[in-house]
Parts: sequence; structure tokens; C-alpha cells
Amino acid sequence: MARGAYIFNAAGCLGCHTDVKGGGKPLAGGRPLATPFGTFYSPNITPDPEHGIGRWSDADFIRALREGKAPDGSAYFPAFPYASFTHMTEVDMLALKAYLSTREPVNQPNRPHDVGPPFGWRFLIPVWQTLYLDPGPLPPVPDRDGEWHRGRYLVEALGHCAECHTPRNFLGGLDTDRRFAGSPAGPEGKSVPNITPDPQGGIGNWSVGDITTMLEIGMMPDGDFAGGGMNEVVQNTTSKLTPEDRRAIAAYLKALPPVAGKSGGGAEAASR
Amino acid sequence: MFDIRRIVPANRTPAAIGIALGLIVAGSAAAQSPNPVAGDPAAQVKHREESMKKMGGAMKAISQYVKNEGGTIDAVRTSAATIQDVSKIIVPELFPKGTEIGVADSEAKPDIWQQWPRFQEIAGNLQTESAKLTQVAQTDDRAQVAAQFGAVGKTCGSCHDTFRQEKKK
Repeated sequence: MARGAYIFNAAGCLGCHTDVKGGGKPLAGGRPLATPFGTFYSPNITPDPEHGIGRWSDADFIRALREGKAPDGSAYFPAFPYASFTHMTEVDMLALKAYLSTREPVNQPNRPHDVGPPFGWRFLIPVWQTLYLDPGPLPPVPDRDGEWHRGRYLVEALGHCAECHTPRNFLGGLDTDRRFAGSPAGPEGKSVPNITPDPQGGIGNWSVGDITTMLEIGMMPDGDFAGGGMNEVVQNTTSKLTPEDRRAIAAYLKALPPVAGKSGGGAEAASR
Repeated sequence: MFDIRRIVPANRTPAAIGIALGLIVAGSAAAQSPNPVAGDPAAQVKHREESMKKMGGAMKAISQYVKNEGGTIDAVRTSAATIQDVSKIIVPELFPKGTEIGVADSEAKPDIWQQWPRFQEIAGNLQTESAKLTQVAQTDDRAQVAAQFGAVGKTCGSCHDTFRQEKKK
């Protein structure tokens, strides 16, 4: 159960699946996520048998995270970042499911998304998935060490950092050439910083200690404290990781290919 | 008995009322914001940003003590005092009306003035937590300082989360 709880924190489920501002119950869904494609409302993932995932089998749960498909076979909108969660191991997925099953059930129906055509056409999602979903765990890379691989898992599979920190094209797919280089039009209208090691546009001037401090308490190298979006990530996720895991994330980020350009946000301004 | 008619001629009553009201308004405005840059929104934004940067520098100095990177407890005490001083002028001096996003390079969301009581509450939290930090800094207890430093940082983040819009660069 401890493993499941840790994965729950590392993946940040609580933040998206709880309508904090609306006073919603934990994991009961209903949190609005405003995107350039419309507003999505997160679903109920409590163990409620009617409106939550209480009746899901292990296979249902794995399929949702791995393939972005509901138990009835319909596809999920990629606002649910299964393009990242697909890289989770099956062991971790099941540990997460076990943990979720111990949470408080809430009998609250899901709110329909407010997304206009064609983005709201669920039957088109399989097309999106063919283009942008690369299912399954990430293969090991021979000349990289254990810390890098752990960092990659935390960033790419669980933390799903690229989903906010990468610009999207008009179809909502990630612009892979600019992975982690930030986005001017992130969720909820906020600009998201470049976290590649580019010295001007990204966090190239940040030390490993600067990055782990940021992840632990939200403080940037100039003493500024992160607001919108990342503050939530620090509170819900990164502050709850082990120091080793935060260092692994820092190691992975420092090893990314630098991508130039200030796509948005204040990370580069906050560098020394 | 004081006779107002000796000061205000009978046919000047409306003017006198206008002057009196004007003085009251100006007086109360001055009393509420003894603002060194009153009346110039761009300068007010700059003054605010400088004040915020002062707090950032102070937090950075304290972090060097907390992380055992050579920061001294004396620097912590000076820094805690700086943060406390700035925290006291956040409301209302640093956030006068007319300095929201769109004015110079302001990152202050209009929500601040739309949710003024909530904003005042969070600013109040910073006063409380920075006062505690000043107290704790009287000791040389790194763990205690670290814990309260974290509490102050959390209030910084909570305000920025709701009320600051990072600029698109």
C-alpha cells in the first residue's frame, strides 16, 4: 500500500481528480481543466461502484492507463495524460489501483466536457492515438546509469512533466522537437517554462541543487517562489518524493538535449 | 459657540462643502497609502517589483543557511527582518488600484482587487509567518529555521498561485 500511495503522489492524481476550488471531495472529479481545445472536467476515480471505478477489473485499469481506453472500449481524451502513464510498469499500475481502492467512495456523477467540435468528437480520438500514443514501457538505454533511468521513469511515466512543459500542435499532440521547452498556451491559460538545459531560454544555469530545491519547496535560484501550476505540483507531488528521487529527476532534466527559446514562464528570468 | 458663518460666507456654502469633502477624501487616501510613488502606476509597479525582489533575495540568503551552504544565522536574522518589513506594506501600499496586468510589466492579476478580502488574508499570512521566522531566527537552530522558512515559502507560493500571472516572454 505504501508503494501505491507513493505512486499516487508521484503521478499527481489528487490534483486533477479533485475540484479543490469548488470544494469537491477528494478524487471525485469535476475539476475544470481549461485548454486551447475547450474545458475538460476530470472524472470520479473513487471506488464508488456506480460513478467511480469501484467495479473496474485490473485489466480495465491497465487498459485505461496503457491504451487510453475506457472499460466499454471508448477512447479517453488525452487531457488524461495516458500518453505518459502508458510508460508505467504493470506492477506500479496495479499498486496504484490497490491504493485507490482504499480511498473514500463518493457517489458523484461525471460532468460532461465542454469541448466544441471537432475536438469534442470522441470517435476521432483513435486517430489521435495512432499518431501520438506510443504504448508500453520505455526501453532501457545502454549508456545511461540507474539514476538517469529512475529520473526518466519519474519524469516521463509518472510525473508526466512533458504534458505541460511541451508545446502542442493544433491537433493536441506534443511538438516532440520542443519537448520540455515550455509552452505559451499551457493548461488554464498559463505559460509554462522551458526546463531543458538551454542556458538562455531554459534552466541551463540551474545546478542539481537548484532543481531539487525547486522540486522540494518551489523556490527558484533567485529566491522567488513558483506560483500557478507548478506550485500545485510541488505541494501534491514533488515535495513528497524522496530526496534521491528528486535528484534523479534533476539528473534526467540536466541530461536532456537543450532546446533554445523562451516559450513562456519565468524560469530563465529566475536564473542567476 | 463656534460660528461657521464667520469662516464660510453664506453664498459659498456649496464650495465649502466641496472643499471639505475633497480634503476628507485626499486625507483618507493619504492616510491609507503613504505611498512614495503615489499617482504614477508604472512607478508603483516598479516599487512593488523591487520590494518583492528584496524578499526573494532574503529568502535566498536564508536558504543558504538552511541548506548549510555557508549562510550565517546573522544573515538569517537580517533577512527575516526584511521579509517582515515588506510583508507589512503589501496591503495596501504595494497594491494600489490601477496597477494590474497591462500596466507596465505588472504580473498582478485583476483578481487581487476583485477578491480583496482573500488577498488581504494571504498577505496577512505572510505577516504572521515572517514574524514567526524572525522569532525562530533568534535561536541558531537550523532545523527550526528550516521548518519556518518552509512555512514562509508556502505562503509566498500560495499567493503567487492565485494572484500572479507569469508573463509570456
